[in-house]
Amino acid sequence: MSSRAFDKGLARCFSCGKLCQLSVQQHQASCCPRCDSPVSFRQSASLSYSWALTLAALALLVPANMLPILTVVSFGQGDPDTIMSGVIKLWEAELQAIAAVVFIASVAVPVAKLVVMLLLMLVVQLKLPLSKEQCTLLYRFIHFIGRWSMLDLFMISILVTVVHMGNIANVESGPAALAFGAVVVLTMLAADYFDPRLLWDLEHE
Amino acid sequence: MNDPSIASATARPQRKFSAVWLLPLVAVALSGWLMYKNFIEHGLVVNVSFANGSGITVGKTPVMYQGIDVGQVKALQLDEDLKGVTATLELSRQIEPLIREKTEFWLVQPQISLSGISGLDTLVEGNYISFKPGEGEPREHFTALYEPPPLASNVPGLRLRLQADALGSLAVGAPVLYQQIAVGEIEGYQLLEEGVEIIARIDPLHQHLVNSSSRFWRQSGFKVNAGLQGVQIDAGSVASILAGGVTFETPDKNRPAAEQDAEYRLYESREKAQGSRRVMVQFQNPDGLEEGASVRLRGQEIGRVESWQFSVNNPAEGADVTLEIKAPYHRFLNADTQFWLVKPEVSASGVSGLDALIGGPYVSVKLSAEGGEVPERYTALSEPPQARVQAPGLRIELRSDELGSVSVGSKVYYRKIPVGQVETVELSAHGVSVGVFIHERYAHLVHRESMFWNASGINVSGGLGGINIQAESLATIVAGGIAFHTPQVAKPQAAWEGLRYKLHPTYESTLVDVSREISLRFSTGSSITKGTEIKYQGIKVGEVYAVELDEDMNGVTVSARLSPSAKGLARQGSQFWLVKPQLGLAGTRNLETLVTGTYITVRPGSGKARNSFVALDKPPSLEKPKSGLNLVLTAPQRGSVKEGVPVLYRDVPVGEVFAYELSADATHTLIHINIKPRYANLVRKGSKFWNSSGVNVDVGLFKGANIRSKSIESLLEGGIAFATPEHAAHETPVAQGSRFSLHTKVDDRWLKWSPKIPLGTAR
Repeated sequence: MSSRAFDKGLARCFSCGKLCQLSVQQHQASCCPRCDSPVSFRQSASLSYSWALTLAALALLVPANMLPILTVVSFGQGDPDTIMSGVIKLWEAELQAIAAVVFIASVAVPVAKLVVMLLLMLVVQLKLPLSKEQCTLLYRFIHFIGRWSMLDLFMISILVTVVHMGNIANVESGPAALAFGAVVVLTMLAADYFDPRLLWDLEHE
Repeated sequence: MNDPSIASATARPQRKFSAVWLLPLVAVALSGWLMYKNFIEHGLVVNVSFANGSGITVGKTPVMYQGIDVGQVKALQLDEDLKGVTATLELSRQIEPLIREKTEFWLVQPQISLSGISGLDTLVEGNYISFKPGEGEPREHFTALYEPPPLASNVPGLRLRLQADALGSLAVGAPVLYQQIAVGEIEGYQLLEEGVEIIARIDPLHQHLVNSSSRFWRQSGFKVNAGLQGVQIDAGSVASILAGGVTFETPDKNRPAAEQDAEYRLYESREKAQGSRRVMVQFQNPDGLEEGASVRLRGQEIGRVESWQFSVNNPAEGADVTLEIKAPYHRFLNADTQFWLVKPEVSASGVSGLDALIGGPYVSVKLSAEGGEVPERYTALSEPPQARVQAPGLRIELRSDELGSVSVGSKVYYRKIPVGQVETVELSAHGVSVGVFIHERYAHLVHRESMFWNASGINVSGGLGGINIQAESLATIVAGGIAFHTPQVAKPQAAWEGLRYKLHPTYESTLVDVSREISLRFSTGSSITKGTEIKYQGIKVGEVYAVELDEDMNGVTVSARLSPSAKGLARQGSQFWLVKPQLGLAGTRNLETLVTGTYITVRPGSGKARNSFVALDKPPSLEKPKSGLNLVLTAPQRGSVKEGVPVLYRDVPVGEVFAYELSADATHTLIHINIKPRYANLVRKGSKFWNSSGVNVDVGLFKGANIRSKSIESLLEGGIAFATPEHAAHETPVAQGSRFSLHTKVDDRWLKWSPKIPLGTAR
């Protein structure tokens, strides 16, 4: 069995990289002797932050998908669309490729991220006997893919600013855009706060 | 275990609770707020069933209330039973209290009638769904009305209920006009047990214009009035032409303003609104009379023909025409009212009803005093009644044997100026009685002595001297007329009302009354007829008016009248004879009588006035001329000498034979000649007269033939020539009545005489 820094009571300062000796028994917060930044063996309160952010993202996912995200008015006609109705419209308009991209980026990925995050956190929390390698793989995946969910919002923000031609064509963002943006940001933060080392710590217990 | 090279971290107390847990709360709150806000904005969703979906567009057709967009059609789908469509409306939450059980929805579509702005806005903005708030429990499903309910609008204003028999061309939104200004509109209508109730709304601004005296009628498009005066087009506003409209007027402005939901009657026309009366008139012959033809009183329209139909029982009996007489004229209808048909009539007696030529026949009416019972049915006159002129003036009566071309309305002329007209023409026992009206300002022209004659037509009198055409005026030629003149008398006496006169057939005959009547006895009546003229010196002085056989059957008695100026011709000693054309070798005379007819001429006497004469069979011998030199020639035979034969001097006529007679002892003929004064000097004592008539043929064995003749004229007619010897030039001229001998042959020596004798001055 390999030894961990944790086992040696060593921790590296996140700010200045100084290696310090932490007492395992100590239930107090420790500070770097050099830069006075908080030092801990693992991302401090990683799980609770992740939980909080994930739950917040989960809460916002509801309006993000239920409320209209975009209103495209062309020649005076146009209805507000939610994400899903937009995808359906695109699909019905024979734009399956774009529909697929939008669906993956706007629906599948955020939902998948949250599901994975919940799964990972539950694994850590409940010490579920799952493959640590696969869990880490999932974590890497959501960490990597997370930023691409902002694709939708970029597109919306560009459309809103560019397509502004009165009655001929006009694009307005809906309240869901805000919620959706928040979901993306919160899941990214949640993924950031999640310390994958917690997964591996389970092996030592 | 502790590596000394690795510094220990400094300890710090740990916080129990992390602020990060606020984040989910914030997120939940935010999410909840977003959802709530969206829910609020999403609005109330109701389903409305329509009969069909035409005119409804998803996402476009708005729901309007009080002119404000309060919702939209979100979806439109067929009903499950496929018999209609259901529109899903998303309405503003604000109007949620209005959407109840009894709320009514309907689709407002553009009216293709330009009936007003409410119709026009849908043309531009498209259809919209409107609703009328109701009460009751909230509901989510409604059934739309087919058309807007009668009282749809909540626009403030005075609402009036107009009762009508039929809706006519009125559409919802049609204007209500006052003085042709739209002051309201038709909001709706509904069927009643009998007729239709139309709800009109008057704008609050104009509400005061309506009171209990107001009268409403339909504004019917436009009315074209064409007549002799021109074409008059009476039109309401363009909208009212297209969509119809209601017009009202308020005669009495002092009454209190009308109350909400007041009831009025909607009349078909202004005339009816003003109150009118229908009367039934039976026309024997409704020649060309049409519905809508006007009823006129003295040329002014006071009503219309509403309808007509042939008499129910028997079409041959004519037609029953229903007339509508406008207010206030209908008050004057009573049993004395007379109706007749006016149609164009062009006849010799005048042109009447010329306006009917263009406007078509119309009914004319004569009204008398106000009040009285109105009979159920009138019978129209076949011709206009004889109208009395309603003006001050003199009315007299003319009597005549026959009417001529005078008719009612013919003018009466004085010096060719119209001063009155014929009012009545009536048949009386003695002929025709013509009632004449003379305008007051001309009444003084009529005296008791005035003479009236029929001035109609043209009077043409012609002769060799030319043709004389006489007419009073062009109008009288066409329409007939009566003229009069007033002779100057010593004591003029003004005419009085009802005075009777004789109507003479011509101007000339008016003179008869003051002329002399004479009777002439002719041995034969040939070529003497009624109308044969009596002339003196070539001028007409009278006329024969009767030719009758004598009592003894041996001749004819000719009655004639002499014009006043020629009275003096009828005296004792006057000689009358008939002038006939004469054609003869001796001369062609009176050729003009071939054209003008024979005439009677007169040579006046100098005695007392007489009325009865015996006419000569032939012209009397010429009277001894008063001027010139009268001589008597004695001849054994008359030869070819007769009256009018010229007396020639050097083949120049210087006089003529005016008479011949036998001498008292019958031994020779006395020939009376007259030498014109100018040539009187040529006759001297010793002058020789010979008969130059005929041809003088002298035949001898040795001298050959000598044929001598005077002019062709003398060859034909004969003639008397004379010559005066040179020595006699010194003699004094001969005295009147000197006697000479008429030689039968000329002596050649006489022909060589050529005395110098100065002629008298030519006169």
